[in-house]
Amino acid sequence: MEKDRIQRIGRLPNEVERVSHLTSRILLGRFGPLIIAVILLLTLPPFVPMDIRLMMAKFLIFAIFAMGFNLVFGYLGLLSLGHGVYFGAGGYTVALLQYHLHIDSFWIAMPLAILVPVVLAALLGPIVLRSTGMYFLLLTFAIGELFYSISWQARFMSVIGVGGERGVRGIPSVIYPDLNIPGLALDTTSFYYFILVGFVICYILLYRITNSPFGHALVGIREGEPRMQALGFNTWRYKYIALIISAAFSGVAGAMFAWHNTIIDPSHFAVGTSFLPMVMSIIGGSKVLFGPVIGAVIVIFVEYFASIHMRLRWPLILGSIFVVAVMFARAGVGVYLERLWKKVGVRYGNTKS
Amino acid sequence: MKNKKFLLIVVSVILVVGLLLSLGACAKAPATPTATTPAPTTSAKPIKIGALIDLTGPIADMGPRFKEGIDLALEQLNYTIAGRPVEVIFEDSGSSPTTAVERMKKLHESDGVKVVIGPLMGDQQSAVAPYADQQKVIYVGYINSTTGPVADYGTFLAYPATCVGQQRPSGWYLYEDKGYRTMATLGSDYGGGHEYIAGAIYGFEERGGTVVHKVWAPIGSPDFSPYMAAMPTKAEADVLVVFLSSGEDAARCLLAYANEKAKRDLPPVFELIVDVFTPQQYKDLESVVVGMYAQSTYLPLRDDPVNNAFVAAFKAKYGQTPVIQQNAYTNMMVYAQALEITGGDDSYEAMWNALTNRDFQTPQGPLRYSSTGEGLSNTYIAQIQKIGGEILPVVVKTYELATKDPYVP
Amino acid sequence: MEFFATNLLNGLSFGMVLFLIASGLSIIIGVMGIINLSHGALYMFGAYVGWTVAKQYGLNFWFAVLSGALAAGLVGLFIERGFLRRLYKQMNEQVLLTFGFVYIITNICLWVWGGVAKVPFWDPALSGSFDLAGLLYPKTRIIVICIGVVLAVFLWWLQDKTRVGAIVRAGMDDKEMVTALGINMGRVSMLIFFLAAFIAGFAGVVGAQLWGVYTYQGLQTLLFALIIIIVGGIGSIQGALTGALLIGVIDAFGKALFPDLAMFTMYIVMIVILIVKPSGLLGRKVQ
Repeated sequence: MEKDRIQRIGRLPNEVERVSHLTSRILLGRFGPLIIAVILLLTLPPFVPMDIRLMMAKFLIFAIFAMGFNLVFGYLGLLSLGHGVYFGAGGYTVALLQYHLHIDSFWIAMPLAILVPVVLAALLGPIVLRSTGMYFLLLTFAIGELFYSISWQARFMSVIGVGGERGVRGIPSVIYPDLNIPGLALDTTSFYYFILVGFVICYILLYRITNSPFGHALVGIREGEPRMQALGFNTWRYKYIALIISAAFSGVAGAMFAWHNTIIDPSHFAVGTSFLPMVMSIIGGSKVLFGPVIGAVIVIFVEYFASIHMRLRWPLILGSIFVVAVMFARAGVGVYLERLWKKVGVRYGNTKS
Repeated sequence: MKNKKFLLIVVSVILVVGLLLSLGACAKAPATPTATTPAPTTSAKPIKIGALIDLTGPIADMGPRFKEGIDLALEQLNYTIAGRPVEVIFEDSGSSPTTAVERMKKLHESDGVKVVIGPLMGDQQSAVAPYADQQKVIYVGYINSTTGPVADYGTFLAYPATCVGQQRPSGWYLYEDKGYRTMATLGSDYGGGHEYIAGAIYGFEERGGTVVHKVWAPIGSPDFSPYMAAMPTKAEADVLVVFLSSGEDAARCLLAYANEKAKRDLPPVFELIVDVFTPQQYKDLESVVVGMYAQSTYLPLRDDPVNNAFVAAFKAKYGQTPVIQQNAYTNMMVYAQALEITGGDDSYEAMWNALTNRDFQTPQGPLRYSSTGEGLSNTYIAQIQKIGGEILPVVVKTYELATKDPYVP
Repeated sequence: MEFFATNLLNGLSFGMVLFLIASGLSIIIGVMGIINLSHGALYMFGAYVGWTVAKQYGLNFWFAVLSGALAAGLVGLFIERGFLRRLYKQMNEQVLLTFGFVYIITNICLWVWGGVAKVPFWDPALSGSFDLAGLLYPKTRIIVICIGVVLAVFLWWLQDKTRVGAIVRAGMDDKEMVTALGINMGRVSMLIFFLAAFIAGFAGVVGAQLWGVYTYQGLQTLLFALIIIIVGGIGSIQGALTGALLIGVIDAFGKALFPDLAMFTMYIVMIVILIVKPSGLLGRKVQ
């Protein structure tokens, strides 16, 4: 009794305690990190300089790309070095619509930017999914480079320059999409929030997909395809659908990237772009949905700050971070952060461990 | 295992803290490294100029050379323009249009820069054109200035002229002075390459010549021998006009040419923008290159007071003869002179007014920007000669201010 | 006839450099099951070291070749011992790790040797051309072909005719079994990796006779090597040689006859092979 009374002296009144208890339950619960992240992403922009804001938009775009990629990589267990194909396809769809057909309506461009990569994945799937492991890696890499060289050669994928010759490779003057909402035109600031909305939508969609029976089946295939086949799963169909979904998200990211970057060029098909979501997924943690997001934050911001503060040596820093991440954070930073978070939850939130 | 986890937590914390600190630091004041030593006495607000140079990526060898030119200019200006300290903020455009756009935005939004030197590549110039035009940021090419940004947008200065304009007199020279009537071409397959060759062809064709063989080689081609194997002989083409975007490509190409020439009677080479070669590369290519005729944007041996002073100053500071470093130097000096005229006002209206329709005397020669930003300058035809141990282009003919681009209104 | 002969020799010499690059990578991927994306960077590093020895210090070219090979071998050894050894059979991690090393090595080369490309250099005694029944052809390119042939024979002998080769091939399939037989797999891995890296550096200086040295080579040669391996098949020297010569010759004729398709020719061959015979022309199926 005495002990209770003494303990009660140091505590807050009941109502405040109840609210704080509730808040901490939400924040420290399963969606805590997401909610905190979204709050940060919503409120930070006015307080940071424009170039950081641009990097935040770029990070969100690549987070979508990486999460989509990770559906095939982390959940299904196939390392693809050719997702640039879908990313670039999304970007080029948007750009070519603007350049050749003068169509900049979001409601036409985005669905097409999803459709084209999906069709590509549907066509490439039977070729690519015949192999696994290293051959899958090489095959997807090869196709990525093929698209790079096609987009380099194809006349309609470049602007026409002087004297009718091919000018600059790619499409250099992509503008923001028209939302067809009277009075609302996108500018740099509002475009960021536009991307943020897209990111949240994609995150929620991918959450639903990965936590559905379909998602669990993918993990099952990763852990042992013969076993799943023995259980009666048509594993090939699951892999095919996963690839198509993954391509769709990559296309969304590609479209957003074209608007953000104002230029899309052949390099966005190639391995230089394809390897980015891989790096982000490995560093951030490929077994969790938000892993690639963490990885995107790390890669994008480290690359940016390093290249400003160490103008000549930043690739050295970036490469070293890859090496360190692989050697010491095998499961990915995201997974360790998740465990850390759970520990915090146990300590302070009275949540069951 | 426990050690590793601990280490990982430490690393993550450091990363997060570092991130936050950088965000904080950036929010307060841009902590970007500049080219300057602390500026002298004045307490006036510094004038900020941006410079986009390629420090990483396939054309990383160009960036440092341009920085040398700009640094020399700043030194000579004593880091002061119009009574205010001047700060040049260098950013790496990474040999990529995407990076160039990002850095241009950073320079303008974060550092408040309104005047930029660079970028180098044609597709970088096209990439930044819409943004620069919208934000009224003036930028200038180093050596290769594509027509698009000049013709379609209003804030680009094509230095020393557009690619096409620069080479038009080359075409004239080949027809009138050399008496060639047929031409074969080999160019780097990218926007700038197409435009340089198009310029030479334009000048050649408008005098009456014809092009019989046109080939494009991807940038970074490891092997030029197949192209040389298919090259017509002197019987079919009087001259082989070559433009390659980098010294290394040009070196490999010329070596392959020399190999093939030993077998078949290939036409003589006329190299456009022979400035891509460094003095060291000339030395290494001595057997192939001496005696060759070429178009050279800048000629260090040109005897002219402005040029002689520049070359002497450059040699004193860096111990070598300048080549394309001149271009960056001139870009900086022209901006400086314009800023003196506007009294330090770097707004678009004031600067554009000061920069265009005005005669500048540069080491390269006279320079004048038209109202569209198109540069009018000299085109030099040179012959590579060996003089006193050094191998350099020597002026053979000068076309004064003849670089009008037929595709720019 | 001359056109045909010239292009054939061009293709063969280009192909031989590709073989030199790809053979090392084929050994590592096919025989050791390690994805080493830093192979191209090792090529480049070896080439730079060779340049320093040959051009900066003016020493004998073949000594430079040895130096470059040794330097690359040591760096490769460092990567293997320090890092890759712990990533046995973890493909994803190997990819990221070795890609990180590409960045690191490329930037170090940029730091030390600067961004200006090095012009092709060679043994002064090999300047000029041979007269091959009326066809004048550069000596350096003929030497490259000869070197390639010698290396191919040596590696084939090593792979198929020696005990070491047998051990490595067995070890690829069943490491535990081989270790149980009393053979130190760690030591064998180390040796093979060193050899592959050594060949990469060797290729770098030999290739510098044709291509020079520049910082983009780290990625460019990796691309070439991957294409060759895809076409020729993983795991055998014969595959690497076939793929390399095929690509080299097709590229040479393709560029000469259809210059507009320059970028395409390699990729078309690659895609055709991938669709028709995914394990490559002479490849052994490796999981």
